Amino acid sequence: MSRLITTDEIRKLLDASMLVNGEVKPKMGYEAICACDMISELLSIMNEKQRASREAILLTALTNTQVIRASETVDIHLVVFIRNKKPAPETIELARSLGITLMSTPFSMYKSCGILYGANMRDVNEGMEMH
Amino acid sequence: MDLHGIYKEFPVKGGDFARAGEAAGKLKNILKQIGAPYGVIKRVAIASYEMEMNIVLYADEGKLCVNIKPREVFIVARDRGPGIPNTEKAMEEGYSTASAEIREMGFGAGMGLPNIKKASDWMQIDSEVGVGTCVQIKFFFNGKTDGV
Repeated sequence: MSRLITTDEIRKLLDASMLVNGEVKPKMGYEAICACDMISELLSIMNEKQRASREAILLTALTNTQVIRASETVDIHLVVFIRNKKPAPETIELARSLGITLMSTPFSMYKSCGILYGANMRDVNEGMEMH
Repeated sequence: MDLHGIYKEFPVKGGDFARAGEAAGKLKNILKQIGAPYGVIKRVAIASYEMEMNIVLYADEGKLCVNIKPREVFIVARDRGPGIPNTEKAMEEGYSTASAEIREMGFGAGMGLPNIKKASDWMQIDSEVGVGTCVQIKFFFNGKTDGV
């Protein structure tokens, strides 16, 4: 079973620093993870019907403004940058204006995903039958 | 909204990464304001973002023309640019002519046009090499995934 997890729990689990504490928060908590470094792949994954109503976060190494635009497009409101990557000021400013939360974790993509999987978060690719 | 609907044009400049995605964001907000079904909003957001990025990444300039009617959304993305030599090939997932620079930015996965097709209910693409490309798409309310 997946479970819902709060912004603060994610921050603690990933030993992450908060870059933007965005205004848009999930009603209950986050449930799923999308881990990718290609924008169109993110859009493709989030385009699937079964994932539309699930609250997901994005783990990525990309830090440009388009990560924020694409996240907003698919209603992702929490983005975690891996390996201590810090976005440029314009990326931070755009996230703030759209209410999106940004964090930076020292962990790699592999370790970050492993920790969140261990906390019972699941991949957005997994079907709804697990509920 | 009357039967003729709402018509909007969004100019898009090639290479303008700072503002790329703004037009798609504005369109999403308009659809939210008129109370379009959630599924339509999401599908239009994804497709219009991809269309806008295609102009920014590959063309000199272009525009998105949007007609929102009571039961459908019609979007035309027209650009002046290099055009696509083989539109059939460009529709294949994973096929891309993107430069290393574009790939470094997280684009060029060869998913753009397939994503637009997947999100929309109808799509037509016309292109002339050295002139430009025109992508037309339609979304019908109660089309794919609108119950979500």
